[in-house]
Amino acid sequence: MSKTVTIAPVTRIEGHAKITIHLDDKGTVTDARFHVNEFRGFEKFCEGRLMWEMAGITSRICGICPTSHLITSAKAGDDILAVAIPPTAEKLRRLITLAQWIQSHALSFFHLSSPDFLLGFDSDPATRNIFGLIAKDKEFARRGIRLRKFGQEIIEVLGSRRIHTPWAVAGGVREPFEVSKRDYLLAWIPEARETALLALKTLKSIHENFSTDIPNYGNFRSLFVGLVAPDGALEYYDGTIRIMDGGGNIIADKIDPHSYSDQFGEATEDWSYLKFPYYKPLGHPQGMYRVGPLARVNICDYIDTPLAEEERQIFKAMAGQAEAVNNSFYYHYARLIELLFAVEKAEALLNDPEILNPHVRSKAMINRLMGIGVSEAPRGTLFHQYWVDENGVLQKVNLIIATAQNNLAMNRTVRQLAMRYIDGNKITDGILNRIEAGIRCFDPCLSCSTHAAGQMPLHVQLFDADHRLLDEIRR
Amino acid sequence: MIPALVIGFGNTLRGDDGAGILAAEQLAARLPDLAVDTMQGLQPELAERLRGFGRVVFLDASLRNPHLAFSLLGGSPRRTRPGSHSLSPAEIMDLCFSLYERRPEEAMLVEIPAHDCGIGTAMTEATRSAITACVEAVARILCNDQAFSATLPSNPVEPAA
Repeated sequence: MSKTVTIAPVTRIEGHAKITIHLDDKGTVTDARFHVNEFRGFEKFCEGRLMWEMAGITSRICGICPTSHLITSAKAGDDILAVAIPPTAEKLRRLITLAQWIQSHALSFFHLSSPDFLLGFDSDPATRNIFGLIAKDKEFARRGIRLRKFGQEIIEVLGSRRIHTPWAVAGGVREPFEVSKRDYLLAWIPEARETALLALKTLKSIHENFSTDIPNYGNFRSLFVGLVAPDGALEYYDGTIRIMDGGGNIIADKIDPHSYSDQFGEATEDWSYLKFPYYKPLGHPQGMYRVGPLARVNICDYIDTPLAEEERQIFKAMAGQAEAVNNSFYYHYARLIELLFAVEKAEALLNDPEILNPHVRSKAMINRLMGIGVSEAPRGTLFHQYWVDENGVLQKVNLIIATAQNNLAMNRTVRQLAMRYIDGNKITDGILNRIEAGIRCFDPCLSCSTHAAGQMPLHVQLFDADHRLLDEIRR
Repeated sequence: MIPALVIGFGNTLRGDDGAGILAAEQLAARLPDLAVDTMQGLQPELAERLRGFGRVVFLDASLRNPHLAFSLLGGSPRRTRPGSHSLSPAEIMDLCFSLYERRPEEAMLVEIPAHDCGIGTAMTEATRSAITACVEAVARILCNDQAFSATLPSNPVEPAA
């Protein structure tokens, strides 16, 4: 009798999802799926609103990465106004984007993934969380919270609030920066850099402990997509799209983000509200690609801060002949390299005298009826596209969220892990946690398409082919 | 007045869900010396801020309670299992204690009855009335330097689970 194992909800991710694992009569895994079972419909209810409101509205999409939506929306607004924003405004927007990376990446590593790494996949699920981490290493946990706070402090200092600041607008930003605020943030830098380095050192030290697990964590070739600077450097705010294959070959480069819809299509499945973007020239599902830290660190030619560049070279050396690191477990490593980069780059921006220039906004009327904004959110490339009438009223909205772009790869990762660990007769909490951890590599932010409502216990159900409940486990 | 921190949280784009934030803002206007924070959800770094206060009041909207409900938070630290980015008031209190070996001596959760948390900024009249009652009650409690437990209103008081 065939069976289905359901993991619902998936824990320590942002948003609501479940995993189903389908077994045949012999208990062998035949398929596994990552379902996103909430729907929000932001694209639809933005229609009819004024373009000027979009930065403030779309930042409400998510309580974790609101700043990424804020910046990307403001950039779409710049495009509709057809203005070049003042150089200082771009630097301030870059700074707040880095702050978003810092707080999000710190949360992902210290709060959501470290319990697995430092306590073990098979440790007691009752303590495999931030409290268990505190019990094991209080100072490590404190540092993680402080690092995340640093990111939040930048956002609050610039935007006057930590979440959903309306600070960035089409044409620039609302307020210039101040010397006292700059100095306050600069004082955080040494501690933040030290913590980012500690995180890297800790993660690398546990790689060996998980040497038997790591090869099963979404270890497959796929395309990698992200923005790079004109000179090939790691980019987070602007630039052009680069596409690399799993062998490390750049198959498309210097793609204008305005042509993203020519490059990427979106497939749908009736079992998930999350779409399945793919690279059009290869079709669906062969055009599967990954975005986010693993992709960005793979595709860039270099990182323009010294400590992060040093780590990038170590990271790339792991790729061997493939010249691209294909194992999704190393999302964590790439994420921490980016965390270090974000701290270093934030310091450089804070030390740039031009960041204090009071001219931070360009003003114009509606000059185009369509605009596209793009930036690198913590989890990957984020696109906002708006169509407006001559008064700036939204006629249509299209948002391509980073997490969705990893959907095909997340499903492939779940399938690979299920096939490796489940034989139908031995389903333990540790095995289920490993499968969830496969999803956590991508640090999906399902709030971008769902409304997070806090944490829930893990619930696993075994169904036969007729959907009769055979067994269940609750954490 | 004993220094206290009031934290109003919720989503102001989800109708009555923003009740905690609105109540906190009204308290800030009424008691200028009061420390007031507003936020969508309770984030882990809030634990560090909590440790600097002796009293804390959390204001949240609730679809569960039909009446304004006051609960004391505290007692033995609980062993909760936070799994996402947003924590409950009790979890934040526990996190504060676990990290810093101290936390506010007194903490209270005030749940404001919500009726419609659909998309939009409009609030129901019933929730607006409850916000007014909440602000009156919390202002009275905070201006009274007695223990929270001695000054709580008599309507539904269930220790928070």
